[in-house]
This record gives sequence, C-alpha cells and structure tokens, in this order.
Amino acid sequence: MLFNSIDFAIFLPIAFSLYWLLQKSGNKLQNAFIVVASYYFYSCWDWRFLSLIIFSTIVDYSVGLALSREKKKLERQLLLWTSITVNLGFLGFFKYYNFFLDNFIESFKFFDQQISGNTLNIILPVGISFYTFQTLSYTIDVYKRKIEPTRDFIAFSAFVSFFPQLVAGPIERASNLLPQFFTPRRFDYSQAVNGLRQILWGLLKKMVIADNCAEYANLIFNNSAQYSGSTLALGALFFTFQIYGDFSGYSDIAIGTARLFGFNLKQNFAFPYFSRDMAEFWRRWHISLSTWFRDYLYIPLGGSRGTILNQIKNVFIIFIFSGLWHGANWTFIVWGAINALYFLPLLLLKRNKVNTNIIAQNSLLPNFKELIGMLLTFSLTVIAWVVFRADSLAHACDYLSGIFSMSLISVPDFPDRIHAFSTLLLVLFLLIIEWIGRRGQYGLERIDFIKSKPLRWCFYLILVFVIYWFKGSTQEFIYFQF
Amino acid sequence: MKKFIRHIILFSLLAIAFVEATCAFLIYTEVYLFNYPGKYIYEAIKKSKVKSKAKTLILGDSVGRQFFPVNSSSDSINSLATNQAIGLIGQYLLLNNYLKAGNQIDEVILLYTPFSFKDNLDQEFTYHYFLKPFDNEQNSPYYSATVREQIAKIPYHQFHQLPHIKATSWAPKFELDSSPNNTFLSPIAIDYLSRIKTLANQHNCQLKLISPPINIAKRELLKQLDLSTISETNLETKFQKYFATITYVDSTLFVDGIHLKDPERMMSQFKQKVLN
Repeated sequence: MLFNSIDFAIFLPIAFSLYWLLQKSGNKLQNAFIVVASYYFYSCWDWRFLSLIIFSTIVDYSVGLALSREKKKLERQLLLWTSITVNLGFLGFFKYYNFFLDNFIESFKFFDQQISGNTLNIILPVGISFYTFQTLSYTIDVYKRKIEPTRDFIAFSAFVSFFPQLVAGPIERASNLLPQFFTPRRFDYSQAVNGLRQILWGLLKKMVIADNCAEYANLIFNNSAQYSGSTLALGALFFTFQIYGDFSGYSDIAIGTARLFGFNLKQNFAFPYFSRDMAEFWRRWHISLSTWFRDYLYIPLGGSRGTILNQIKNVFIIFIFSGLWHGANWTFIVWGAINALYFLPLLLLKRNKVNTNIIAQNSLLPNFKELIGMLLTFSLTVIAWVVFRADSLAHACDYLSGIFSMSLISVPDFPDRIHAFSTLLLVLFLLIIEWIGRRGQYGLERIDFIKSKPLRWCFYLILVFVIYWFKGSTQEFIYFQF
Repeated sequence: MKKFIRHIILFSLLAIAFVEATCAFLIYTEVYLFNYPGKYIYEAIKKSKVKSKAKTLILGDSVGRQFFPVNSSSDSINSLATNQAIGLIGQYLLLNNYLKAGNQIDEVILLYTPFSFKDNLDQEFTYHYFLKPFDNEQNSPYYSATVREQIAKIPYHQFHQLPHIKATSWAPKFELDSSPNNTFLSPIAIDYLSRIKTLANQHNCQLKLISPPINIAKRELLKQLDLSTISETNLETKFQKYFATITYVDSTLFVDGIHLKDPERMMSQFKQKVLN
C-alpha cells in the first residue's frame, strides 16, 4: 500500500477515526489497534513476511526482559548476541545471501578455480532493513542499561510495527518512540494540522518532484551510452532530486501520519542539499540511519578517538556499512567509500563540526563563502549519487567519464525537453520553499508566517492542484528496495 | 476533534472544487493542450472541420503521422493522421467531418500498418485517445452497436468529460483485448472500413490503403495474420495491392520496432509511393 495510493487514502481516515474513537478506552486499546492496523498495512505488501516481524518482535521482547533479570556479563552478552544474530541473520539471508555467494564464486574464478553454488530466488521482505535496525536499537539500549525493557508486549509490538515508519523509516529509537505508547494520547488540533501539512508537502516531493525526475533519470541512466556529457550531467541532477524527493517525501508523509495519531517521530532529513560541507551533509541526510551507525558502530569502535589510522579505519567501516545497508551491490559499497573519502579530510583536519548552525541563519541569502561551500558539497554529492544509481561499477565509470568529457559543453539532447525543463522549474520551486522553511522541521512548517488563514488555505489549495496537475507517472519509493 | 473533522471536510470540498474549476478553465482556454499527450488528435479534429484546397486527404496511425504530421499542410495534401488508438471509427469520424465541411477531395489515403487494424476500442490508450476527444453527442449517432458495447466495457467511461479527467492524461488501467494474436481486422475495423469506402464513393473520391514501412523482423508475423475477414469489407482488391506494396526496412532503423528513428531519410521515396 503506497502512501500515494487510493488504498492508503481509504485506509488512513478509517484507521484515524477508529483510533481516536478508542481514545476514551485508554492507550492500551489504542496500542492494540495500532498493532492490528500496522499488521494489516504490512500484509498488503506481502502477508507471508508478517511472520518475520512477529518473530523478531517476540525474540527482542523476550531478550529485553531476560536482560533485565540477568546480571552476569557473559549471559547478558549471549542474550544480546541472540538478538543481533536473529535480526542480522534475517537481514543477511534475505538481502545478502546471493550477493556473497556470487562474489565468493567469482573470487575462485580469479584463481582459475571453478566452484558451483545455488543462488536462491529470494524476495526481499519490505522494510526489513528498517525494522530490524529499530528492534536492534532496543535490545542494545536495554543491554547498555540506557532504557528499561518494557513488559507490555502490545506496546512493544506497536513500537516495532508502527505502520507510518514500518517500511521505509525513519528508524526510531526506543527511547523516543516507546515511551509515547505509554503516555495517554489526546487529540491535539495543531499537531494534527501540522501532520496533514507535512503529509501534503511529502506528497508534493514524492509525486511531483521525485516521480517526474525519475522519468528523466531512468531514461538517461538506462541509455547513458547514447548521450552527451551535458545530458549525463542533467541525468545525474535529476537522480539527485529524485532520491531526495522520494526519500524525504516518504519521511515527511510518515512523520506527518504519525502526528495524526499523536506521535512525534524524529526528523529524518534537515535540508541536506543546503549543506556547506560533507560533514554537515551527513548530519542532515537520512539522520535516523547515520545516527544509528554512529551510536551502535562508530562510537563502540572508538569513533574519532585513537590514532589517525584508527580514525580512518572507523570512518571507512561506518560509511561502507552504510553503503552495504542500502543493498547488495558493489556500487553501494563504493558509494559509501567515496563518502568516506569526502568526510575524512574534514575529520582529520578537525573541521567536521564547523557548520553546525543553519545556513544563512540571520540573513535571507547565503554569503559568498556559504554559497561556494553549498555548491561544492552539492557537486560532490551528485558525483557520488551517480555511483549509487549506476547498475554496476563499470556503468558508473562510463557514466562519470561521459560527464567529464568534451561533450559536457554542449546542449543537452534527449526526448521531451520541454517537460524536463518544467520539471526543473518545479525543483526550483521546491528549493525556494525549503530555503524559506529551512529553520523548521520540514519545508512548510513555518507557513504560519502567513498570518491570514484564508491565504494559507489558498496556498494549500494551490499545492493540491500542483500535485494533481504535475504528478509524474507513479514510481515505487526507491527505499522500498532497501 | 470536531473542529478538525469540519475543517478536513471543508478543505476537501474546496480542494475538489478548486481542482475542477481550474481544470475547466484550462480546458476552456485550451492551455491544457500544451505538452498534452495526443494533442495532435485535437488538432486533427479541429482541422477536419475547416475547408481546404487540398485534393488529397491523409488519415493514418502514428507511423503514418511520422511521414505526414497533422500540423503539416500543402496545397495538394492535407493530413489528419493521428494514431491507431482512435480506431477506424475515429478515422471515419475525421473523414466525415472533413467532407461535411465542404471539402472536395480526389482521394483519401489511409496510412496504416497491418497491426493497427486490430484495434477494437479495447486498448488502454482507447480512453485517452478515443473517448476524451471523440465521445460526444455530435459523434455518437455514428456509433455502431459494437462501438457502444465496447465503450460500455471501459471503466469510468461516463466520466471522461469531467474537467479533472479530461485535462490530464489520466486513464484507467484495463485491458479488454482478448482477440487471438493473428487477428488482422477487428469487428470495428471491418464495419468502419466499409463505411469509409461508402463515404468516399458518395463523394466521388478514391480510397487508397497504404502501409508505412514495416520492420523486416515482423515479416513472419505478417504472414500469420488471418486475412479471411478482408472479404467482409469488400476491399479485397485494395488490400491485395496494400500487401503487395509493403516496404520492409531494416530493424536498426526503428526506435521501438514500429516507429522509425529518422522518417526524414525515407520521406521523398515514401511520399512518391503514397501519391502515385
């Protein structure tokens, strides 16, 4: 059930109405309803994999309780590793089995040895990369005694399966989301309106920006050998906005939907394309995943402490794992490595925390230095996205060498340039709104500067029309494949 | 909560009204046709109601349109070539409009690839390319029972003139075509080819059937077509000549196996064939 589908448009008001009708019955019943609604939501994707979520829930709930009873260090570690093994085991099998087997066989071919192996026709369960990390964060935090384990199985099941963020994040921490299942939830008009506003903005980013950019990104990437450097550069630009519109749009819809039910999820994208350096970019892009890796991998490895060699090793590990999380392909791994190379100089020169405030904090426009930083960071990001999007490393190399060729100085030539130009105008519209709203959690949050309610409503109506008129042909959310 | 529900309902009604009104305005001003898929069909319909000095009229599918675009005209040839999704009923309606406008022509040429005759108003494109531009009170008197039957099967066929549907390229997803792969002429094609022939005869103009260049890889497929239904059209001689004069062209010259990459290269050669 896609967020931008008729099915979801029917499901959401029904779930919303029933949920708030149960308000007087208390949050236990509301939590139970969330579990039912979330399982139904997930089963619309593939009911067969509901058993994985339920199994993961039971394992981590039990591990959490056992950790609270167990005092001995070895036993506690065993319990933790049980949770890690189950969760990462599922993830590893469904996502990486064929990749590792193929590469294992290839490595033998390198030594002129032939071995055979049977790859399996494995379907990747939707959302597995997200909910396994979410439940893992719970058991790790319980192990570290950062949070107390819950005895309420229903609340825990609701935390694991909460449908707004189940299939594509944000990856929530138990310390933020789980307590919200225990506090009574009262309907709050402004929270609900804020939620609807964020959903509207997310739908615009997904249906207008991402889906329109996808048409050209796919056309150009899938036929890259026939296009000039300038066209390839444009294709990379289209993909850059496709992935942003797609993923941040989904996050906005997820967070907005959660608000309708009285929940506050963490911000997942903080206007990353306005970043002044790569360190800032990684504090603003897919925040829930990057902080997960920071807290559960980078810091335990030593983080930025220790020798320079240690710091370099830790940075590469975290970025490569981040790449690998996205999928079983060398392009994702190399993408991660490229970002590590971008980040390292800043870390080693201790300039990774220079730009922590909001760009152009006290002015309307960025100053010259900020503008240069922004353009440079954006360009580096676009180059890295080419590797991310390419079908293979060879494709990525060909694509990039195609961009940086003499044909970069030429007029882009591909079908339907008028529509492509109007797509770029829509991207500009997005950037303007997000620039104005950069101090908020999402582009439209600070719309209250329009004091007149009728005027605000007019603006919303225009956005509704823009979505209706300019929506692209429906594409699946990119991050569903992860 | 009540305030929220009231505001949601109010906003939803306003949004529907706003979208509908804006789409209606865009239709009224014809702004919606900018970059509209199938815009040339509306151009063809408009052009079909205008008097012209040209003595030759071209009707055709999308491959025919590659050689004779709708927006091209000369003193001798007028083109209303569109695509196969409008069906032979659509081609008939264009010809009927043209002749009712007082145009006097010596010949009407139907530029159709052999695979285009199969259309029985049962393709996914039928909604956007036939229903929206053609299905109205003016044209419905010319519908056969089969046409009415086929239209009735199309989902949401009653709503295609609603502004928010007409102004966009939205069409429901459906697939009605259940005819065998080797079907050559659909029932609607048989019926309306006969009507086109009758109409041409009534106005003393000759009907010619010509195929645009065909991909040589499809030669075998052509041989498997069931040609037995040609006799129902009383156009056997014309179809004999049609098949005998098909030009086969290398696959590399096609974008998608059907449409040519560079029709300009074959333009003069093909034009001569069409006009002789």
